[in-house]
Amino acid sequence: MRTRIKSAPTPSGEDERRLRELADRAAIRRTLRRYAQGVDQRQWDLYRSAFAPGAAVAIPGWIATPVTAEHFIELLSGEFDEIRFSGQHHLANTLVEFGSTNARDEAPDTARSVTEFLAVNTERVSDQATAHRVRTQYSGGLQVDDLVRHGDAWLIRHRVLVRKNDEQHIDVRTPEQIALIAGAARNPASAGL
Amino acid sequence: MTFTLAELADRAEIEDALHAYAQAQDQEAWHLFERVFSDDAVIELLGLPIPPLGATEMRGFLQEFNRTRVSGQHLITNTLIEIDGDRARSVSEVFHLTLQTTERAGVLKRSRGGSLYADEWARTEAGWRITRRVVTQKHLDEAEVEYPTALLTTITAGACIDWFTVDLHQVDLSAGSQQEGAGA
Repeated sequence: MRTRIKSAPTPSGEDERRLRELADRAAIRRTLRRYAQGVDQRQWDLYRSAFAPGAAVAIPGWIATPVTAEHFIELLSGEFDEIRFSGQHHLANTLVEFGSTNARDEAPDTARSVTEFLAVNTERVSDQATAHRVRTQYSGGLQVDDLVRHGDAWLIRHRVLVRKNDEQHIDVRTPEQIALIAGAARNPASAGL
Repeated sequence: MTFTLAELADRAEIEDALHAYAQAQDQEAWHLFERVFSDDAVIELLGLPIPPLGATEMRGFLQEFNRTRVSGQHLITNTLIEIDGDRARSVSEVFHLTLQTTERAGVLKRSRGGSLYADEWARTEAGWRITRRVVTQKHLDEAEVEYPTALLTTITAGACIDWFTVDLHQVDLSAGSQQEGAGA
């Protein structure tokens, strides 16, 4: 279309529908961020608050059979947490498509969201507490989520993590450099949000 | 600053269009590209030896780049928007990471960089559209990197799926299933 200016919309009966959609989108973004903050700060109650009962998580190329959100905690935190220093998920570009409804003024109860993520994780190379070799992993991909309305919230019912890139490097850190990130593995700053 | 409902809706629509641009090229979902530019838009890629492009030319430019692409990400952040009636201006940071094939099996060209998108917008009958974009590259790091066959198989398989419509229960999860932790 060519650039044709039209007048700004005036307040109308559309307001309620627009407000509901904006609120739904904000609730979905909040759920996605709760997952990331929960995983990165190891605040598992926050992580759990992002999922609907019975939710499934899958990662093609790593987890061949979808697992429950609770089982996914074990896969993420088990042996990794013995050597883990920190994790950080950057989320971007979320697009949301709401499920269809029978009437224009009816609120949708389902949605699909597609979000880019870039994760940066650091860990000791060995389980020796005195070891100073640190592995930094950069991995990126998509979080593809089917969400359901759950009261005032939107919760993940099915998540597939799609891998796009994954690289890591190892370097030697000084004790001071290790001390700098020592408090990042578990951080209650995000608890309860 | 307090926003009205109409302003919140405008800002959400502009951010959606920014994300549609990135998702169009990163997921090869070119129908999303139609949500981004006006037909008479002008896109300037500063530092590249090419003249300003129109929207259709820009899509062709990206599609040509994607011919050798294995995967791509353009993470758009820090967007600031200023709306003035039916016109708007925005700036966004973008961090991009793409993998492309090389002539050597298992070796990929990785491009990692950052840019600034400076956009001018107009409210059209189809919604907010970019009328002018200026892309300023900020940093760029290119290297050849080795990828294990199983991971490459997984990435390639994932790039062939329409993630906006696929039934998540039907996704084939078997490719490269013996790989190590995915940093999820």
